[in-house]
Amino acid sequence: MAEFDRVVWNPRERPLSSDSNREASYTEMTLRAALAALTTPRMNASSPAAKAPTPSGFLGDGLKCYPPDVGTPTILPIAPGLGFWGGVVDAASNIGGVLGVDDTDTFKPLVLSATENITLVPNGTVNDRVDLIEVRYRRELLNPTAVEQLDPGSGVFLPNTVNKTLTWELSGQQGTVTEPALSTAYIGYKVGIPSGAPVPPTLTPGYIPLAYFRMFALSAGFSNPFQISDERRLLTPYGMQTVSIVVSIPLGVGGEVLLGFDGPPGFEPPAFTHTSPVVNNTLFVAFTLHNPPLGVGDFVSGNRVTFNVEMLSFADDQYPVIVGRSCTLLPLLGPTGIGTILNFSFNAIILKTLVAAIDPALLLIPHQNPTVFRITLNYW
Amino acid sequence: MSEFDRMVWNLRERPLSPDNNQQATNAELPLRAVLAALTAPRVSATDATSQTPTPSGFFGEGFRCYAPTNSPDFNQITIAPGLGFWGGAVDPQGSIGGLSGVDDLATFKPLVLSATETITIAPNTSNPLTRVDLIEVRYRRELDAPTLRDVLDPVKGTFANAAVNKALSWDLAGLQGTVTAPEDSTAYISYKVGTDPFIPPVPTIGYVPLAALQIAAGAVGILSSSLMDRRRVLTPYGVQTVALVITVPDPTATAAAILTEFDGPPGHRTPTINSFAVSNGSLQIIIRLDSIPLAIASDPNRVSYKAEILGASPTAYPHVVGRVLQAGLSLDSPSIVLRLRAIILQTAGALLNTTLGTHATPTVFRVTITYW
Repeated sequence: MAEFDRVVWNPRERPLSSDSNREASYTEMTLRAALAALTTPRMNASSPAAKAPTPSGFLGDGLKCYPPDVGTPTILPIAPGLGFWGGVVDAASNIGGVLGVDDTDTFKPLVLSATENITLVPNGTVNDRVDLIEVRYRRELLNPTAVEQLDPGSGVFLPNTVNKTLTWELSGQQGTVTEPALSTAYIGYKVGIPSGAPVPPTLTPGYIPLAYFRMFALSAGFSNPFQISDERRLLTPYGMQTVSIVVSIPLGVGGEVLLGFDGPPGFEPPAFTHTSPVVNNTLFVAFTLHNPPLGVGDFVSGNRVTFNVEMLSFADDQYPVIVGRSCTLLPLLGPTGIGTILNFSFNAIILKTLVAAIDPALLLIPHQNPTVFRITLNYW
Repeated sequence: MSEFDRMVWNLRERPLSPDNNQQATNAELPLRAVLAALTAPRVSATDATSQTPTPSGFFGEGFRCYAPTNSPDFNQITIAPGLGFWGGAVDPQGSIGGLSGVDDLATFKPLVLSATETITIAPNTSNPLTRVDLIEVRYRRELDAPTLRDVLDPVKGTFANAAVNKALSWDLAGLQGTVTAPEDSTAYISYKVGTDPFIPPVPTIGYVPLAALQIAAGAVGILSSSLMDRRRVLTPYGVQTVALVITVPDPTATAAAILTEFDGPPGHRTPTINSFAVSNGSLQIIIRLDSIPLAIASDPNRVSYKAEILGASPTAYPHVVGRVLQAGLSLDSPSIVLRLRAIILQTAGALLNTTLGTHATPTVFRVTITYW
């Protein structure tokens, strides 16, 4: 059967448990298929085909491993929420031998109903270490319940205990292994090997990564939020996302103020710097986005970002001109190659008009103090 | 009942088949209502109300027609599997097939294709002119899957084996047919052979067009460039932004521009790009976006764009302007054609240089186009 198909019950038809189960299976399959269709990106620039299977991803900050800017630095919290695993086809029918309990869709729910706290393994060595949090979907029968079940031999209902829930819940299902062991728990904490040039642990087959993080030598926890690389991919319509930034830049040293950031939940706000004093009345501004949730291995080029900047003009005869200078990519966790830092920069000048001409004497006049920039980023 | 209402079962209540059917009806209704509300565009720039009913559309490349071999000698096209919705006039149906509770009350009707569909093209070998054909679909909503089940005989009070339909199906796979215009289509997936060299056949009432096909005079097959995608891609509130990165390898010559990246939804044809070095240091590129919904391509005011050039020098300020050259139904596709021109303002010390600077080699444009 296809999406949106459904089981029907005919008048006076003997009800079967498999019909009820199948009805629930189809309802859920349809929802998952619609979500997958809405969030699947195109294959590439030159092919209009959709990526198959739909890549794994998460809604908002679902299952995001948060930087330890609050709380205990030896605990890594994973935010509750929803995600979907989009790996190879893994269809199952009559799960646990229960007829009609099927999972035929490729988009598998990753569900965490409460914050999951991971206790970090201290690094007592003199070398840094890179650790991994990875996750797989559950799909398991549980919730044993006493019911009455028909004994077809005697024709009477007898007490029995049966599982009443097909669950995808990952809450509390964590475990820790050390590289090169494979994770077995649904939420796996894989401790890496300390080294002078630490490499990240290998992803366990069937798992998707939530975060890599660097445990510094002789440390029991985190000391800065940029030790964590968010490896999740955010689910957005057709894999595309626009974020907007409003920032106030003073002409002196430092003091940049982020006035507005319109991005999805789970996206860390940008950090700004600027060059001061202004040279030739040209203002140079740089900013970085740490940990944009773009998906591991999926974001490989600065070409997958467009950005537009504009500056508010306070006078009728002043015309700001802005040019983006660069958009580059760096690994967040240094030489490990893990994570992403997007570096942006741009220059701004102000042209002044005089009657019907550009003023030849007052060109490139000073900027307002502070100057407010509005930035729009598109990435995919 | 409203979209999120649901039937409840009371303690020790005797179960009835209409209750089970009603439960399934209630479970499906909210999903379709949410998708319709999420994808309905506004009526116009000045009217904030949602278009009612929500226009038909498709997710990504669902139902997109392809010419798989791009050869005038190959006589088949394929339709990609996927999901879409028909959003035409209200067509509620209760007790489908006489089954109480099997209802279809939402206006947004699923168009479901579970497997790739292949259609054989009618040859145009005896015609001295090009011919334009049409592929169109309608929704199914049909009882299917006949199965032997125990059914109660209310007179005898015993169950007897009988064949009953066990599924309400929307799947269109394999349900294709061919007609010749001006005949109306009847199959769920219909290939309507045209008679006009320029205009596709008029869509049959109740159908959604998928693609128009230009079959050249004397040809038995079709090229990719002659297959016109007529689908509307479903996007949140009907608004879509696409982004392009375009590299001009040599801004001083009429060298071919390269589309370095394209960010659009699946199913969106890759844009075509041309570049030209024109007078007074101006560099021009022309972008053509095809497979645009017809309503958008008919109105250039429904297109906005931003473009920029990244500059490596702190003294060079690219200035990019553009305009929509064309938005409309050309012969081969509803399309938007956008022209951008760029100059470089050069600063010298604290002054603007009176001469225009030269473009970087290569020059890279980043363009964002939004349409609705």
